[in-house]
Amino acid sequence: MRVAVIGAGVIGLSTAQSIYEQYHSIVSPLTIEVYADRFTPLTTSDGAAGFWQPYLYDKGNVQETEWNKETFDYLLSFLSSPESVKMGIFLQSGYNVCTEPAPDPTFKDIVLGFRQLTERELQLFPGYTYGWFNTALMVEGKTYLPWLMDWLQKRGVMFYHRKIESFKELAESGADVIINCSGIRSGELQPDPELTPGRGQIIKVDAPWLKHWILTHNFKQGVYNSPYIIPGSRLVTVGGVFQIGNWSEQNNSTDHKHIWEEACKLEPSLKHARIVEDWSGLRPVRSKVRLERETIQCGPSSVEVIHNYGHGGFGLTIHRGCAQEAARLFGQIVQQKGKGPKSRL
Amino acid sequence: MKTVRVVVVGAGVIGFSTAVCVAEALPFCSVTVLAEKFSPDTTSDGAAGILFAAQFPDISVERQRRWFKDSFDHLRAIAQSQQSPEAGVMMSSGYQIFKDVPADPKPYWSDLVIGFRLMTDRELERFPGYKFGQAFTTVKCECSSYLPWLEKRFRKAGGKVQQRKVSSLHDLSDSYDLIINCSGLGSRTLTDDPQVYPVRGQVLKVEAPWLQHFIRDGDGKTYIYPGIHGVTVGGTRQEDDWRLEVDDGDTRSILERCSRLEPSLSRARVLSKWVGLRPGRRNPRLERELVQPRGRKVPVVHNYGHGGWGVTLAWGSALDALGLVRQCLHEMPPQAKL
Repeated sequence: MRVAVIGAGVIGLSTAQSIYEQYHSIVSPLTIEVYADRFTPLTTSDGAAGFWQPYLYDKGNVQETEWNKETFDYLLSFLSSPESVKMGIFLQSGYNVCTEPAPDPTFKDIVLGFRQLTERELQLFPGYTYGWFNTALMVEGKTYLPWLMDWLQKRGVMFYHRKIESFKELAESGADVIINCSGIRSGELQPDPELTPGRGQIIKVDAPWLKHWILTHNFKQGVYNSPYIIPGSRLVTVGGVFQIGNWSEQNNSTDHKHIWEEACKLEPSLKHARIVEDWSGLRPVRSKVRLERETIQCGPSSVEVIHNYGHGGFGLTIHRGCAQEAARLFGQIVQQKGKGPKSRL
Repeated sequence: MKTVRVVVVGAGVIGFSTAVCVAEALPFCSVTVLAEKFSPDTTSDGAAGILFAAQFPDISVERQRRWFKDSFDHLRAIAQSQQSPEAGVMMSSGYQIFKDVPADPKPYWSDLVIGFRLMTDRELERFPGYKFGQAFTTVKCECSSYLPWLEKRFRKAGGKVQQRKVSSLHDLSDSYDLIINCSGLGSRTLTDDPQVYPVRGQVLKVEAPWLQHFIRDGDGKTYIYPGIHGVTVGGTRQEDDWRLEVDDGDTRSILERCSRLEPSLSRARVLSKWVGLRPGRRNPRLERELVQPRGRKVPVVHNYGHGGWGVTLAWGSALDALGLVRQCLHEMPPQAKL
């Protein structure tokens, strides 16, 4: 079987990995190819801080919460091995602070050591009256994606630097299954009115004395539209904005000024931090993740497509759970095509 | 009023903290710090500087709490200000883990640090063989930055600094009206105190910028402290060991023990190695006495013997020493001030 994955961000690469892991000994031959016009370090996943945390509330979307948990537990299991460094995975604790009391976040039982903030801690955050402390994971795209590519290349997955213009194009060249992990640009392959950019801009600074992440939540302004500071292994990511409908990938100086001023109010020591670079990215925002099968007619024949896109600002957070689900859907296709293990009487 | 000439012997964290407290609080005193060694060559410089304490047997818990609280609050304010990077003071969260449940699961300082709680079972899963743990947020004070920062503050308050080895406190009685002895392990000869003895500690600094939490084994011998420019891993507690040279066997032992707690450390590059002699003593000596070297009575305030808790207790002991200095000055007969 020939599997063509469109997209080489964290979603594309991890889906290729899950399919390989689960089916390379069942389907023979299994050819997996990844097509993308952008590879690490130029994908959306690379620019993100790499902080595992879903939005505060899943609004009833329990499926996404399960995928988030699966991802967290999966990444956590690597910490007992030195391999975790090559994967860009490590633990970091920090603060979620709110301008008013709020219900506990949906992820409280997934993370480690979740608790309310004490009065003394809240004094650190003037203007914020409530919040939580917990230990979560970091998974840095700039390290994790090369690790995934290396993992896949060692197992014979081929990579093609090419922009795919249509599903038809891949079907005609012989792909049996297409995995659509094209993120924010999925609309170019198949119009999707629910998919829209949630533009983010960040500033990377050198401030190695900071060891905790701080995310502020202003419910009137919306998620990621209020300051956050997330230390990484080398640099600290300072944000944020969340501009729905803005397709610009250029850094904007007004946004920079706003982000910087707000962050310095939150963490005064940033004043002495060296600014290294700005970056802008488009979160692939959707009402919910599109993770489903579709059979696409291409003239006389048809091709199976598995969509796996629309992960908003939580792609790294949810990637493994979704990749495993996509592999499960792939399994259904394998069964239907009779390519699975022969059934025994 | 005539200026009172005060000398502080010792330029480690105890010496400079005390010197700053006195110089800032008592403008009618001229304060000089005299020491053989200055940063980066003091014992304080190699210390990881995580604020954390053990309990001394013969000092009241109230007094120890006051030392800890004063130090913690002082450093915390710096950590949360713009001064943080220059002073080398930052907040640090992490874990203290125990193979067996300790007799005292909640130490005296547990309400003085931030967010103290017991570790959950899930958190302990990362440390096979460890049955119990505490999680909290505390301050880290890196003396290689903090001492120069204190010196700057000291000079701004009119303080003077002189590099000189002091062989006897009596030698100082002609030039100074009040002596503050912060000579750490040096007090053994300087004040003939056999109760102070070295506790040798070796540490390594490694490059592991992905580490964000401190991890300390409750036995005090194995610890990992991520700092601003590297991670300090250690250590050893060798009593009456005066060796200042790096011991390769200790290096291997440290790396092996720490990698067991934090497997990713096996990928860390060693940047440097360092040995320091903690000024061990059953209890720190924080008291005053009058010496009479050549007929003239000179008050001495002792502030030494903090073992491995110097950075942790420096500011609190300095304030305590300041109180003793005030008492000495109050009792000074008028002619001594001429």
